[in-house]
Amino acid sequence: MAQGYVALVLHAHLPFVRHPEFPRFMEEDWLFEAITETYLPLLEVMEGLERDGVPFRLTMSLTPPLIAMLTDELLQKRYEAYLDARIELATNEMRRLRGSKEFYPLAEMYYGIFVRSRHRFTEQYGRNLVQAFRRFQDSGQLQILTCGATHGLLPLLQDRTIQRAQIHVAVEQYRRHFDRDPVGIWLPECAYVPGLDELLAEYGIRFFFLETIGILRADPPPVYGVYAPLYTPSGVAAFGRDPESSAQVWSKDSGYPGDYDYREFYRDIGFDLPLEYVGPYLHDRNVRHMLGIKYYRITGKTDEKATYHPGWARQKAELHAGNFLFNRTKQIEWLAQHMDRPPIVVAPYDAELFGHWWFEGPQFLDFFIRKVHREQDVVELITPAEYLDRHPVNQVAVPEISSWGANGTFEVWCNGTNDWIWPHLHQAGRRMKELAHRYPQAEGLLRRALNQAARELLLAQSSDWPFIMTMGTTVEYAVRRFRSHIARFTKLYEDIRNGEIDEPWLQEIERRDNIFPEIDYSIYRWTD
Amino acid sequence: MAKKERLLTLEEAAEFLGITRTALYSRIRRARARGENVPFRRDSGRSGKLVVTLQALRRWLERRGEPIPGEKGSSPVPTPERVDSQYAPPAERLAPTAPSVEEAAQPAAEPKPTRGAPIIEQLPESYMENQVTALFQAPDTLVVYWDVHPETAKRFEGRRWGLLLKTEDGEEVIEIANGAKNWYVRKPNLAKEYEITFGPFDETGQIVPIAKTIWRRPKLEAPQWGRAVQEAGRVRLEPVPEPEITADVGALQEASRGPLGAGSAEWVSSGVTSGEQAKK
Repeated sequence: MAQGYVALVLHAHLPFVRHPEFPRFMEEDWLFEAITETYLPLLEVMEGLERDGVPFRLTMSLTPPLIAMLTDELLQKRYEAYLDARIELATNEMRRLRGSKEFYPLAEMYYGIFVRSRHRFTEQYGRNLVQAFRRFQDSGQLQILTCGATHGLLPLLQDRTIQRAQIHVAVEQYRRHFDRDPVGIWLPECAYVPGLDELLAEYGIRFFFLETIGILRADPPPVYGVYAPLYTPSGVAAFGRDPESSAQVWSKDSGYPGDYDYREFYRDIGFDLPLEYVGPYLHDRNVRHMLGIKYYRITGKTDEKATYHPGWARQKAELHAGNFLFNRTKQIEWLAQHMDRPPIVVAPYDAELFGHWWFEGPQFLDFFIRKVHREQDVVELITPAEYLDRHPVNQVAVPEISSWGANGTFEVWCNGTNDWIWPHLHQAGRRMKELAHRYPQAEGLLRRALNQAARELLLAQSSDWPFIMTMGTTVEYAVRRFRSHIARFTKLYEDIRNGEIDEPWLQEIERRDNIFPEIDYSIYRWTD
Repeated sequence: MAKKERLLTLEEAAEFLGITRTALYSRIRRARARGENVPFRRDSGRSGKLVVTLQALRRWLERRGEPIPGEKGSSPVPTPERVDSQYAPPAERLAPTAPSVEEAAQPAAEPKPTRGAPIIEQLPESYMENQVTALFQAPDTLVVYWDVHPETAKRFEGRRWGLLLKTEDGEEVIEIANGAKNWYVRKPNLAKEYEITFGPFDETGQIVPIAKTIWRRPKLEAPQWGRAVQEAGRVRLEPVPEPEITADVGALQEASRGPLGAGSAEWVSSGVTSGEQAKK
């Protein structure tokens, strides 16, 4: 019998980016790259494990914006077009590199990835990856978490009704896609403030995750550190992130993804090859961006990069999976000696780390899970819900206000680069509540306008916009998106108040910001 | 046995239409983006190339109301100058995904209103009300922001403005910089509760309150141990007697200490600069 548990938790999220008003849009590539490099490979790992009879337990969030995009017909079609272009590019690369023993096999590898992705996406999954993931949840191997409706940073939204709307819309969407209630949630950015758990309890959500500090500084302090969950006063369990397993993967200095044999993320032919050659594949012929074909390995702290060898990298992935398991085994053996119940090590990561940032990440996961099954009996993979079923009695405490951002605080989302957004968000929230109270039983055009106002508010609340502003990359896009949603909301507010709804304009923004088609604005009337 | 119709490659179809391969591919992409049923398919026998039957291509042109080359009544389609020189860059000859002029032109970001309020992307400096709000940013920092109605601002024009912070241990006055929209209140450790008053200073140095807010650290009472119960779709806590604990609490807490906030932000911010980093 195992001495302890490991819960692998993958947080899959992208902001809602969909621009039907443009024939193509660069930021939509975020989704397309994640599908190709992360979501399809993760499904492939799960299918391989299932085929080989390897039992596994994974926990994974699919956030509402991601679900909305993965099930959107326009984006599904655009993804196929994206793959068609990549297949063409890889074909060109195979022609260009014919005769090169060093690079031709790599071009061929990318061609294979794109062609296989096209086939699997279209033929095998009928374009709907959400249902592909759902199959593993239905078979009990994968636990799919929900999240905030648009990944809003709940503590800073402050108002209970506004926070509840983020949860409510997410739960409703989850039910529609998975035919069941969510048992767990990934709080956006793990951002927590005491009392938030009461909202989760209202929806029957059994657990969420916290940064280590949120557990360690709980009141009273945790008896088991982060190696057992705490119940919040509402009865919803909080699982804390294990710092050791996180650092082994996350750390930019000592983490596995930085190994010199792994593929170098930043050397991409979008930057390396002549503009006249890659130009046709760029969104703007004169503005370079990544195209997903990368020929070099990390090599070292040098600009002179050596050629990527998939075989070497695969060996490293297996080696690192073995090392990760070895460390978890030793960790759990030690913890078990100091505990009077089996410890649980919770290891959460951004899903997109696996495959997109760390190309070999899915291989690492595959090796790790297989090794857990075949090579030891100390560690057992588990989902949080299973843990709570086996260990229903837990310590009760009030966790500390925290997030998984820098320093465990909210400073990533509220600092000198982005604090200007909060007055607008709070004002829009108050106005949305005002509208919902003023027009409680709206029908027809008024109802459409109120529902669209709710969508615009939710889209403005995405934590991705202030995050991008802090990181200093694609800031212009994040600022434009934020301003646009607030501006659209404000026009709706004014028009509704003045009884002068602009139907053609409303129709156009309904077409553009089509997230949550079933939304009901009256959630903003609800009070405690 | 039915005769199998010959498949045209993209190049052959483009030649049939009298346009470049690039232009045809762009047309296909745009049509797909619009949700049109496009007859081009990938042929596994030709390394995944796009192919189409002549008949399907003709039907597609018909549906689109476009002239069919060689058919009665169709207008001649000019053939653009081809780039077949061996000196042409390879992508120019091979890549079919070049954005057309139509694609490259960026339409206006915001749809134009036809009536009602205008769209104002430059967000307002003020929402015409007096109010102050405090946000918890970190255990040592509150971010306080405010709004001042223009009439209030006019009434107190020329005054210095400030915040009055009251805690159970006393009061503190902070004079804010002229024109500031917010203030980061930093303390070694935040108090459990702050009553914050915002306003201009009067002649005696007192703050004239125009807006107030209270920030308080949530305080919840809870039993020591419990069991979660699900009832009617909700979760609630059922207290249980505290079990006998034989764990080494100090060692476990020590083992739990690690780097703070080593989550996505740290990884994403590593490495060289790239627009790709914005993705999470």
